[in-house]
Amino acid sequence: MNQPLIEFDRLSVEIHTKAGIVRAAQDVSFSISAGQTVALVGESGCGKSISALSLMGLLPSAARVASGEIRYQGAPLTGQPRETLRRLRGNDLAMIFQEPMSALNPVLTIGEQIVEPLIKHQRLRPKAAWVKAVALLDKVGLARPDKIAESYPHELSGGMLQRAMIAMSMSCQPKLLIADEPTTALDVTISAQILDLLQTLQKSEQMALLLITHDLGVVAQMADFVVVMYAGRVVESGPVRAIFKHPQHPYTQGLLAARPVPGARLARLPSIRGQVPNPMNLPEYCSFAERCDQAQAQCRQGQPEYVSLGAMHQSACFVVQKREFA
Amino acid sequence: MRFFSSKMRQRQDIALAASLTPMRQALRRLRHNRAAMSALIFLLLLIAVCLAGPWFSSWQLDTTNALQSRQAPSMDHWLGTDFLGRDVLTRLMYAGRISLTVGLISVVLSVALGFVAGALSGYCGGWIDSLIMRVADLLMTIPSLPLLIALGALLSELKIEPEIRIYMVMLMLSLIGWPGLARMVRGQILSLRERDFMLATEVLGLSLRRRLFGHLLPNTVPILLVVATTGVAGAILGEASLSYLGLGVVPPTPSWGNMMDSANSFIDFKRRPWLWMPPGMAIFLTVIAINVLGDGMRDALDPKS
Repeated sequence: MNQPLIEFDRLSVEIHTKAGIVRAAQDVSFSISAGQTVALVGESGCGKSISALSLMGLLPSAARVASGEIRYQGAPLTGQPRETLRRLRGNDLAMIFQEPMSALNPVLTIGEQIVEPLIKHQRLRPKAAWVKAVALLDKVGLARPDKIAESYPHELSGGMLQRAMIAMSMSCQPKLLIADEPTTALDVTISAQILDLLQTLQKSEQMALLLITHDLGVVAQMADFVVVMYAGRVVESGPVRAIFKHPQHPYTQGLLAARPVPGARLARLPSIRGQVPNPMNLPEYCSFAERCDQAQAQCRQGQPEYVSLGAMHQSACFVVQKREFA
Repeated sequence: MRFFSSKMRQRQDIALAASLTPMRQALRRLRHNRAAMSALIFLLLLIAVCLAGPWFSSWQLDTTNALQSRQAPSMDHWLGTDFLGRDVLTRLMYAGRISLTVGLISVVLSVALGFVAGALSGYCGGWIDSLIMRVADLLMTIPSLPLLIALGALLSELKIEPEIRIYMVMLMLSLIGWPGLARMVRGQILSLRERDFMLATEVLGLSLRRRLFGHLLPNTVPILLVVATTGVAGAILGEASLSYLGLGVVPPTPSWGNMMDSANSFIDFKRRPWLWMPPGMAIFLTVIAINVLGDGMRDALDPKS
């Protein structure tokens, strides 16, 4: 297999707060190949966004990479001078955010904002850049792109803004687009359109997509590969089929069981009992053990290693380990 | 039918309002503010008179006439003459040019300085923030009038030419003005930089210069405009007090402040109000008009109103 586009290699990120050190991500390893869609799944605060931000080199000042590294086309990204990262950002790596309304500058027109990376990274003349910006807006499916380019963010709807945001991030044909919960702030029909658009663009531009989400429906529809995170660690990762058909880790099983199934009218959806442990003092053993129905004595004695479960599918769980090697 | 058409028109109006830029919307609100518009008209008139007036005056700026000194207002001299027999109205108009220019330019300088300092301080944080803010704190702890007086005395000691001195006075006034502005801009930037769109500019790999001037500056324009407007009033007052004390713009260059100097003499103060009333009124009305306009702009630009 050829070299992946992005490799996370045992990345650990710590956030230093007054109350202590928060281990926001620990030993996160996975890779993204060119043109592939990888979904990063997990509940709020499990380290999804922190992992994505460290990929962009945009960690908040209190956070730092404690160990491990991220490689882009084989070259390490972490610890690179800011100028190198800045050239990569926008050019090779792009990102769209959760709330398109706040991700666009309210006092600049849409066109003015799309033009900037074009002038900066592609060295286009302002006029040519404007033409390209209008073309980009057209490409993301906005009607009357020339008018849209001249309008201000407050004049557009959330869905239109997210499209504009996508146009902006696509401006320099990035190799990887990070979408941090791109549809959370949008209503259901619009979010389906946006996801469709992302999928179409991904195919036509052959870019990789790192999709951060907690919507498993979106994952099933979009992703090739799924990475499930829990309390800062990757608990299970694998091709989307394997994860959905044969989830191994109890947490993944719990997540999938908690999905509403159309047609099935249940009084209550199944849920995972208990609470996420406080990230300030995570246990020294499997952090899911306290909530796990299948937990055994061993689960409270150390961190589980990854067990390989077939092609690219692996899981960090003692129970799975036992079952596989029994 | 009629109801329908009026509904249509209303909808058109709404569509029109929506397509206006934020700045145009603010201008529209400003136009409905009577007090602010009167103040603006007054100021424009004042500027027009100061610029064009001297051409129509039959008197020269510096022509002295010992025989006609300290004359009361008459048909020849509408506002009388001063102790050297110079026409007060003509001098008042020239002085207006100087005072308004000093006010405007010193504010432009302090806004430029204040924005750059405040934006760097707020956006970069760390030691840059500490350094800039401590310098600003230091300048703000020194009472401004004594500082200005000391600087003015220094200028007199160095025997600076009156023409160059005007520029020095502008610099001095902007030196006093920028720290307050820098603090305000810093506060704005601190909240703006946390917004997603600033993260987005970083994601797009834009340079610091583009982020500061392309994305942050337009967001602070409303507050800069308001502060700058009221700042002009402050600068005019500062210039007037300095020049009144003989430390700002010095004769023969006229300014509203140094024309007020004649109120120093008790006889003139009591018997010849035409010597000090006109510049006094000019300062008073100008400052009030600018402040009213500034208030109106604040109301118009505040999105919460």
